[in-house]
Amino acid sequence: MQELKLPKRGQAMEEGLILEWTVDEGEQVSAGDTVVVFETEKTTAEIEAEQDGVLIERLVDAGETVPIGTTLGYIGTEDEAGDAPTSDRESPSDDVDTTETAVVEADGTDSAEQATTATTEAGTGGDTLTESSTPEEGAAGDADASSGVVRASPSARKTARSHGVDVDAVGAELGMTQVRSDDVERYVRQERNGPDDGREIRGSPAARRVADEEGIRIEAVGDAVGTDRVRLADIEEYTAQAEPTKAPAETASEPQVEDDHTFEERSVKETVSITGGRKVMFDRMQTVSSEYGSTTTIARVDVTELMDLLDSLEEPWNEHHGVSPSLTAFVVRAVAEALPNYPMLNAEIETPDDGDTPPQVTQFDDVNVGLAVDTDHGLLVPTLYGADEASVVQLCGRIADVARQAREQSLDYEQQQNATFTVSNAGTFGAYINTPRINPPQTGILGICTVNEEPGIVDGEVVPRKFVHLSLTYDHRVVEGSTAVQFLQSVKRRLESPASLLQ
Amino acid sequence: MSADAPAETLTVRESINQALREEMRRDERVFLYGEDVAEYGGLYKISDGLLDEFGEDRVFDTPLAETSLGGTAVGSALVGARPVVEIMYADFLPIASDHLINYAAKMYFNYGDETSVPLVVRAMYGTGDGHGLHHGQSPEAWFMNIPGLKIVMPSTPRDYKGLLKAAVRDDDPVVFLENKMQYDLDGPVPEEEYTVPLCESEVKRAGSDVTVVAIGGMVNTALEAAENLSEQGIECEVVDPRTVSPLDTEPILESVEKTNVLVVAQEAPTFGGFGSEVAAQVIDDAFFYLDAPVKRVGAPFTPIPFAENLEEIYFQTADDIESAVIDAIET
Repeated sequence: MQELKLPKRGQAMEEGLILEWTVDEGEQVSAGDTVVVFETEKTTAEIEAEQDGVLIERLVDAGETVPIGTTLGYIGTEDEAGDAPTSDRESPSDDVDTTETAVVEADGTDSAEQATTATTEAGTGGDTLTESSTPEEGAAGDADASSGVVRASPSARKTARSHGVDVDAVGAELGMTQVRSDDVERYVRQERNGPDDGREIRGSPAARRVADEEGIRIEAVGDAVGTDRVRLADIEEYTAQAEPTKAPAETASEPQVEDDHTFEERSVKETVSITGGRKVMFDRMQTVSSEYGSTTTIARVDVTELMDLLDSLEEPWNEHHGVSPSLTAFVVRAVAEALPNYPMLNAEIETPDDGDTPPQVTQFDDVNVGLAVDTDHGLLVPTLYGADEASVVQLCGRIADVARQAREQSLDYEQQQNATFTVSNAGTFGAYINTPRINPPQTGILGICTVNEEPGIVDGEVVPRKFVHLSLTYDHRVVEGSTAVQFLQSVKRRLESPASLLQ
Repeated sequence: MSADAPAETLTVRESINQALREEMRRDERVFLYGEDVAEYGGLYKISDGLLDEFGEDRVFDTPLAETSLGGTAVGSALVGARPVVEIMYADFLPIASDHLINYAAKMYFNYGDETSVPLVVRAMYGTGDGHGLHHGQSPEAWFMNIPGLKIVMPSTPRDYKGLLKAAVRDDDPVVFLENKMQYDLDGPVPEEEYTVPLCESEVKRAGSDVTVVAIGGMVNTALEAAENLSEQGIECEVVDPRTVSPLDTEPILESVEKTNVLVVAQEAPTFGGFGSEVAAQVIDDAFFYLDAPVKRVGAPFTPIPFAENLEEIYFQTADDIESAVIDAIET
């Protein structure tokens, strides 16, 4: 028996349109007769009978588009017409069917020849295409012979296509070789709802109406609430649950089962142990995430003057002090000047484990600003001791030093202790707005974002200005919002009058 | 009629008697006849005293001949009288029904010349007294399918009186069904002259959780169920259509749009019944407000059994309505 399968013609071909059956079911054919004409994107081609016999069955109607490898029909002897071509594959191990199975396997190995005998229309470069398709043909034939051929009605195929599923997968999953449209629907439902859950999630009319009005999927409600019969009360429960995080309505996730596609484990490139600086970051961020009342407030600071100042200082400072003026140094300076007025931000939190002792905040006289430095081995935070007593020039030098030491991993232990507040500059990487995380047990951190030239308004005129976002994350458990905003404004004011920072 | 108008407490029996008496006093064309309505005063004493007041020309007994009762009612109505005929048991309405269905109901439509058939057929139904197959069937569904017939099933003394008076004054044929098990039910009836308009449903009890549409005697059963359910925190709204056909659906739809749950209750078998019609209309017109399957309370699809224990099973009680409500909510 010859299985008529849609061959692959060319690398890009994924499916073909069946244009015409040239013989009817039950009609005699001779080896070499054209049986089916199909069309791919670029070419029209034919499939020929390899043997004398009859067209036993057509499985795909003219006008249908089917994926490559789809069984289009069978050619065999009159005798073979009786036992349906699929019946021998339902139980390949069945002794009675041995002969049939052997024939199928022979077909599989012969399929290269079959492909070669298929002709393409003149002038379409069919030879090349045929050659390239040969290996796939053979492989596909073998696979089908061993796994069982699934027959599907045209309507089942249509349904399968509309759901993007493969009828072979449907047959395999449901354990059937004759697949109808209903079976495809059932398969799709199963895929959607999980393997052994035959019940589809349905909503009452009222629930569906309300869900529709609120842009909620009934399936999502059913999943979240744990029911397959969604009623109004379930939607209320769902919206109450999901209020803060109403996910954008995910489009119905239909299973995308592609032909001949195997799902493999993701290949691992490298496994990285979280140690050293990364482990410190890991632990601290864990603490902050789970314990802190982190809140971020953002100020947009006009740094046009400051950037001009930096430019103008570049040459003299390099010449006289051996340092380049940096935005970070100016921000640290402004922060260090402002912090003493906001002691809750220049502080540490202590939350005793015993549960009886109330939490304590230790406010510091010293202003030691930690500076977040990104290195190859993780984020390090060297401390600029007494930042409030250092000039901007000194800070520039010290920042350059600790950053280098951090990258060289030559920071002393003490150099990474005793910070009372932290400044982080994500702007160097282009962050437009960045919300930093507090470095516990501190109570605040200031993030510097990237400097952008943007339209600004000066004396009622729109003029190009340079702006930077400063984002202050503070622990709202102990720092008032007003305190945080006022602190940030005071930093902003200093940076917008940069000359004052040079004193 | 205002809500705080002076009212006396009357039984259903008394309120029907008053209605008949008042309408016969008001309009000399009104007359009452039927089996045992005159000398005996009605099998259930509904027409007690009417013969004495109005004489045998206007209140008289007839043989057991429902065919003639139906025919004479149609005939007298056509020539300008306003007959009130009693078919003692509604079970025997079918004998008179050729006249009701094929003549009374159709003449207005057929002649198109203002011909009207202003008759009232009073008949009693109601299960629970061991009277068996032929003396208690609830017949509304037999006639619901007949355009041109008005079918009235009151539930309270006030409604019985007001609706019967309105039925007598109505120019269309009215089948007025009285629940014989509730003739002794009492309640406030206004002392002043009033009628209750036909074809107006009334909300008998307000509630937010479930709409129960009940007819005739089942209205009182539904109200009892609603009180019991209220103790469980379920508030039923009980809607009493009062006129089964033509049905005033608007209050029912409004109620379902509020509660999202519908239970219907009737004495007759559920299959092909009034409740099924209400369910269908609600599904049609308020589908997207339904949050639960519609539950129908009614008799099983079998004749009324004689045996007391079987009749108990057959007859729907407040307990059955409560179960249906809970089923609907918890399905």
